[in-house]
Amino acid sequence: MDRPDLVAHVFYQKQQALLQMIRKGYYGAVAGLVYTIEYQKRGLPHMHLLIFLEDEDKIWAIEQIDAFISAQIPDPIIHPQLYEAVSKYMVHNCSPQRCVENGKCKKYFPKSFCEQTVMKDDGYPEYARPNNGRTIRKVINNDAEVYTNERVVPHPRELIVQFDCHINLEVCASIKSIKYVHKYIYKGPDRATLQTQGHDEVKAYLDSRYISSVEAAWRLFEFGMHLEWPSVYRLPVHLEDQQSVTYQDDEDAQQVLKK
Amino acid sequence: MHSCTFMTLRRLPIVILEETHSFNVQSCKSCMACLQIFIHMFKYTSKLTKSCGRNLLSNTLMFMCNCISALGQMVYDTIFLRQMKLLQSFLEMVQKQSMRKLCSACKVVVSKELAILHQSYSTLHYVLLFPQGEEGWHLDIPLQNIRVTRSKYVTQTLYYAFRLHIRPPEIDPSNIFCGGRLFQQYVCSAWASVEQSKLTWVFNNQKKIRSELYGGLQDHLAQDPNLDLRDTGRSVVLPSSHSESPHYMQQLLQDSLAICHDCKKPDLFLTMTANPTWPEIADLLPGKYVLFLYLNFPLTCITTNRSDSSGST
Repeated sequence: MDRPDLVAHVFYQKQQALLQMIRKGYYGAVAGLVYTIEYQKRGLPHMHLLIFLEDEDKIWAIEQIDAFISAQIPDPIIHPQLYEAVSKYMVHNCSPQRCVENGKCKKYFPKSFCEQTVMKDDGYPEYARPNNGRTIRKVINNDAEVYTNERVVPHPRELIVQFDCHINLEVCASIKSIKYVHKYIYKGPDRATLQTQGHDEVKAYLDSRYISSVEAAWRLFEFGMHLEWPSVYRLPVHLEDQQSVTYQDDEDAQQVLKK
Repeated sequence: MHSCTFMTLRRLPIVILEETHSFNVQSCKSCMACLQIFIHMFKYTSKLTKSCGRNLLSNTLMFMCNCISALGQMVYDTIFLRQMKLLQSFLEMVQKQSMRKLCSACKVVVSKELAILHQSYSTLHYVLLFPQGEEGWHLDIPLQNIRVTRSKYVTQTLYYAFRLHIRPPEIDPSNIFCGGRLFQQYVCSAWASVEQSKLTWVFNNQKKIRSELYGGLQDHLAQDPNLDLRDTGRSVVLPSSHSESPHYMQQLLQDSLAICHDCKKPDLFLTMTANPTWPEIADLLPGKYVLFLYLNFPLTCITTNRSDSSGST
């Protein structure tokens, strides 16, 4: 990982390729796309992408969800490549540093088995994780562990094989999840502890800001950090005769009044 | 005999290090790379002296010392032994100089004389990366391909993008990519200085960005309900045009919610994480800090020809 410029270049290419695919209708006609690029503390970039589909392609039915998203271990004989990709990237392994809080995993792994995909009340569907005896054996730090469907992160089947990396895919169904997702996407850059005196936003921004090398390379190459598509134009709103007027020091007062 | 020399070699930089910055030379792990760079520096010391005067010479010497301390912790092989003579002659040279004089000279260079805008800034901070004393970015590099920006001169971002461009060695034998963690540090500080320049502009041009438009108390309350009214007396505003700033993020959030409103509801939420073992990256990684690497860059994203737009080196 000593080449942040390479990581930035390659990730940019892959990310653009993925966006291209989705725009061309991989999940159906696309009405809008929103993404942000973020960096983990150790520097690996990742993208959060929200996909809005056109009305006729909106996801409502369980069968649609099942077609796009899988949360189970594939058959190692029929789909050897997929099996390998899932075992490499899509198995959630709890660790105290990342996700365990008060003895429980923040992301609720391991999840319980579930024969069929069900829509739950809180907006997240429960994906099918049949108890079919398929397992993945992984050796981490000399500890061999066996994982079942309980620990598989929901993923798009073809994409993880094609892009050869961790891709998590979830369905947004309710208002609640929309709120959560937006909060998640726009939480802003990470920073260490923050303490400001007075109101100097420039200084507050600089204080305890940290930059990872990949992020630095990404910004230097001027790759996009965000995308909002379709583009949004903010209209200035004002009460009658109360619009804001901009004028220079040397302008004529009468002219300014007419604005 | 070798261990004896090593002792001397290792003690020397400690004396200097106590007095000056540690420049992370330890991170340049490869013995060979270090040595080659070292020899380069040795060769070009005279050239450096001519262009930048005595201070640079002493600074270079300091880096050489750091370099040796890094070497001291490495397993040395036959090639290393062959270079020992060179090191020894260097050692004599350093010892001729008064140590205190050297240190004070270094301190001055690091703290005062070099503003971040100076062309030798990165050269002096990263002597290992620029062993030939290449000049860094400064304000007056003329830009030939004016389509890229409105500026007549090469901007900092352009310059660093140019520096990070991978090219075959016959055009530009660049070894900054072999710097390991030092290279990462270089990239970070490059972006930090770019951002610093932008922020300095914002700081000095509060009137131009019409900072009073951001002044509404309601804006504040929207951001922070526990607001202390004394703080609203507004001093400096970071405008929403500066990416990643709080105003910017808030605007994006509003935009996104507007899209949400327009397109009803989002359907899929996808998270894609980079994989450091992607073959595209692994194949391009130089074979463990090879000094002059040749890369046939297969990615197509660099379209603007920046190599002719910068007049550096």
